[in-house]
Amino acid sequence: MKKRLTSWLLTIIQAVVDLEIAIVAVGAFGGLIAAPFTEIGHAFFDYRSGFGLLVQVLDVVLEVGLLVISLLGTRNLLSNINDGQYFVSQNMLAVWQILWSTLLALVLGGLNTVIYHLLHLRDKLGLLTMSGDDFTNGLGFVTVIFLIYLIFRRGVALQQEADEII
Amino acid sequence: MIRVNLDVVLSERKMTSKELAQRIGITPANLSILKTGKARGIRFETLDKICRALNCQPGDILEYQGG
Repeated sequence: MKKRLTSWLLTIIQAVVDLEIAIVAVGAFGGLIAAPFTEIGHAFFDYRSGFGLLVQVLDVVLEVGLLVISLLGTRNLLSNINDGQYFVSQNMLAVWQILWSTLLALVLGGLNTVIYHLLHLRDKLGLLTMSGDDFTNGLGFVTVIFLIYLIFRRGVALQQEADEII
Repeated sequence: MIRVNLDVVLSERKMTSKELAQRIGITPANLSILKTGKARGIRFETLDKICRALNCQPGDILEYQGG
């Protein structure tokens, strides 16, 4: 019963992550294409300088790319665990993928905050820059993911050792 | 060093590796790893099944070689 509930929960979470990947990828890149022709652009971007706009567009592409990479890692992890595969190297790679993409997103967010300030750009929806709280929470998240990565690495090594005992 | 004499016991019993693998429920590949001494260890459960299938003692299969 408990196992079935866990499997059901994992399936639901996996479906939510799948939906999120689709929304983020299609929404962001669709939004970027539609921006010049609709009001979406004005709601999102600060149009006062051409260079500033280029920086913002590059930011969106990079942030979305990193988010999709992180979500794909999460999806692979959920799928493997739902299939009963725990301490396998694919899971370790998936956690590693989540770790580096989140860390890069955190660094990018921090850099954005400085660059936007220097270029006097306004982050209209507050999605590309970070507040002090965002940075602290992000750092906490990266630390937890790093610990999970270390646990998986040890788990994979122990599993390989156990598999060599016949 | 521990030497695995499984092939000797198998030939004495006139049993093939494949047959033994089937009887004790492990893959022929794993049995081959065990026979060639490449396994890191052997479970008591597996040893019990081998001894039962071959009607022998653990000492007939495993031998300590000094030096």
